[in-house]
Amino acid sequence: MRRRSKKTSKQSYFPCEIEKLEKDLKDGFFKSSADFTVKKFEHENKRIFIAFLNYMVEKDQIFKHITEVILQSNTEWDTKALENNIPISGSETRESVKDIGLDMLKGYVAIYIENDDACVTYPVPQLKERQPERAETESLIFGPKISFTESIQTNLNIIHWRLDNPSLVTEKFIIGNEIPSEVRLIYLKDIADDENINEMRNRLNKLQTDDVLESSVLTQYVEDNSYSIFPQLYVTELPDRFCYELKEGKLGVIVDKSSSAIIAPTNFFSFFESTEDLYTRWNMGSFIRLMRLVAMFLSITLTPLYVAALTFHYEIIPTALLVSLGHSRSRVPFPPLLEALILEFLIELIREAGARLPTKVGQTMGIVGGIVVGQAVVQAGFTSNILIIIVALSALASFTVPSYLMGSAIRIIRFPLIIMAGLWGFIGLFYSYAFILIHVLKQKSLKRPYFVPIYPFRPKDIDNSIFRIPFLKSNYRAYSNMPKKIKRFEEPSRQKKEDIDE
Amino acid sequence: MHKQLMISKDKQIRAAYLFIVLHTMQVGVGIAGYPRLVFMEARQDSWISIIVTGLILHLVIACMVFVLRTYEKQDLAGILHTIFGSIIGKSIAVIFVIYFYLLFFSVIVNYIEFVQVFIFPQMQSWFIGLLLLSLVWYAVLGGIRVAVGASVVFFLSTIWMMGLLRKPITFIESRHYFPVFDTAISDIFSGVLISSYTFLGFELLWVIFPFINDKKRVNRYSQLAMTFTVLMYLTITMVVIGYFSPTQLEQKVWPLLTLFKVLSFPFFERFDLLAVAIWMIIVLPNLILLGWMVTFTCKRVSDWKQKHCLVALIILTLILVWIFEDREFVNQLTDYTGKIGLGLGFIFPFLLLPFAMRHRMKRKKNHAKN
Repeated sequence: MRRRSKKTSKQSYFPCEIEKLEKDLKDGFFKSSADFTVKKFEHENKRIFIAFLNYMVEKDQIFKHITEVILQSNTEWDTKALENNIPISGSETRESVKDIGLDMLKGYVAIYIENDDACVTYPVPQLKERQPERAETESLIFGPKISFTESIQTNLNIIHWRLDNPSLVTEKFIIGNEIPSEVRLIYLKDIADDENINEMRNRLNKLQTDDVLESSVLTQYVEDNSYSIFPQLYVTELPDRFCYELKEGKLGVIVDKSSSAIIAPTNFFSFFESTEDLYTRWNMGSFIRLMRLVAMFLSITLTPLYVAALTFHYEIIPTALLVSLGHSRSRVPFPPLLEALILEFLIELIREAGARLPTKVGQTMGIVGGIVVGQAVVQAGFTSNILIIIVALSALASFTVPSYLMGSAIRIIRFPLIIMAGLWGFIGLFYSYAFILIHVLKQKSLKRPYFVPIYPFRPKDIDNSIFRIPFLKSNYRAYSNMPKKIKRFEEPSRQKKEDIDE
Repeated sequence: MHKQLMISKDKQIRAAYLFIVLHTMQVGVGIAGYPRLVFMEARQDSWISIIVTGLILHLVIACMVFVLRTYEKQDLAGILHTIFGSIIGKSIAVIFVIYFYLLFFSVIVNYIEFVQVFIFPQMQSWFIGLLLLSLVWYAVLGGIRVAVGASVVFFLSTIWMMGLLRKPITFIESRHYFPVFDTAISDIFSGVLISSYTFLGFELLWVIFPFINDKKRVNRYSQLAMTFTVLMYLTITMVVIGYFSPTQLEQKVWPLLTLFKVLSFPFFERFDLLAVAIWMIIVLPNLILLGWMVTFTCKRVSDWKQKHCLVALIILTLILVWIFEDREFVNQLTDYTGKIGLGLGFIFPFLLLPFAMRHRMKRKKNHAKN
């Protein structure tokens, strides 16, 4: 492509007749598109040609700042005069049809004065975008509600307003050979680790693809292990979380046309953190964080444990429980494995159907699926009451994870766990746990260990990931991010402790 | 073979991990039956045997660290090569590979036996072996960092089981501890000998030493690990002796697992079943680190690729597990491994001591000359 454009510039397309330019642009480049709009007029004996794509530009601006300016002046126009007198910034001088066409695709207007050496293009893009709205996928009760939008300009604007620090760097990349998209690598130069920056820059530079599509797709292109089920980079739609992580020394990546941003590197435990833990008091935050981890563990334990116990290890069930279990299972014709799989599958169906349907129908769906079908399933003798409780509990537990991707990962690994427990009881269950742990240990995020701060064991980082301590006491950033400035702030001077009554 | 090992920065580990790694290497299948074995020899004075063993252990570790420090950046194979030259050095290293493999194999067959006795009597040995070996394969492929990481994470996720001793402690009969100081010195000594198998595993230090980042702290953390293990074993043995009467204890092959039978929670009875399953998590660090040791030393001796050694190790183990299935064999193998371990684990470091001292003297002389 580049070679061809060089050739045309050597031969020099201009100067030419207006009609020739129009024909080449309209029929050659835009394949007779109906939206290709041309305005031709004569002014002071010079023929002037203005072309743009109908809905890609702000027409008001063209009339006000270009056509009017040209028509109202008495001077003779040429390329230089255009550049000097038109009050729109960002003009480009183009000398080939291809360059002009590409500019017009980005919302430029092209102006050519007959028999001049070059054509001038001005950016007057009209971008339809939605206003920043409340976050939907990561909803918060407490704290800022704004979320990213699909426009990179708006997102950069939000980020810049939040991080008004001179060391904020936004590096620009253009990725995608069919549909090029703008990608920005964002970090605080004074804080973020250079090795991380270089690694991310290299990965973005090396990336060859036809279309980035969305930022969560970009993560799948640049992450360390594509075969793992666990997400290795955090995708968020919350600017406050994004900016908080940047301040902690991580990197951010935003993609044009995508309403979420990427945070890298990420460790396993940060998928269980929510910015809300920071907004609430430290003891509440700690409790909720620990609760999410426990919930994750319960979510992958309860159903497999039920299956293992009922299939192989009756001995472990206490007598009191055994009676009610036996009673509720007496009508169920299936082995526990099948029973559990049916019910887990049902819950997944309800979740998926609820997510695909419009919100209002989705709620009805949840009620119908959850209550009516649940009741009927038990009465029909498909599953036992106790299993319903267990499955509902583990489904609920999996939804407490703030990251949707991690929550889905946990829900999905439950199925192999149930099958293993159904085939080989506790041995199968603990085999799976050991496998998952080893798997997580082997993962890396941007070449940084994934299971930090447990391994590599960094006790000083635990207050930044697994629980929280009061802000005044935690004046160190997490070591695992390797920030250049490890201290958030100088520790406050200690007050002398007074005796009880002094 | 390069005698000096150049370990890249991202493969290095901190010395502090040695505390957990060496400890997890020592704790494994042995501890389940150990209280009975030591009690059969040293009776109520078992604690003396354990403490004596502990003291010897500290000496051995000090000696190993001395030797390793003398030849910086070398593992066992490299040191043997330096001292004894190519042929003898390599053959001793091969003996060690076989010995490490014996340890590996004895751990796996012992665990298979646990599972067959406590949970699934019908389950085929080779199948349990396959499960364990697949995990070993997956972890060792990740290299030393994953092996150490697995041991750290598995240690953290099983150490709480020590708290389960709280319940049996309430059932302790204090008269089971008497008479004290009634055992002959020779019996206490045989108690020390019988302890050897259970305390083995510290040989990992021979192989892992070049990978340690801050070598100055190796001694501190290894000694701490030994103290921790000895204290843990002492606690468990004392609880077991206090809980079971002497005649009962002699009949229980795995008193520690039997101990868990009394545990019950409102939602969980017969904890021993779960304990045996969790024991997999305790045994896995052993297997993973031993698997790593075997393959790494094998690679150092033979110049094969570590990956290929690993595959060979797994296939060989599967075949052996399939062939040898009976209880008698497992017992004998464990005994023999313990005896070999006594020589190669406990005594061997002292044999290297004079060579290391001579090496240091030479180096000093050279320094003086220069």
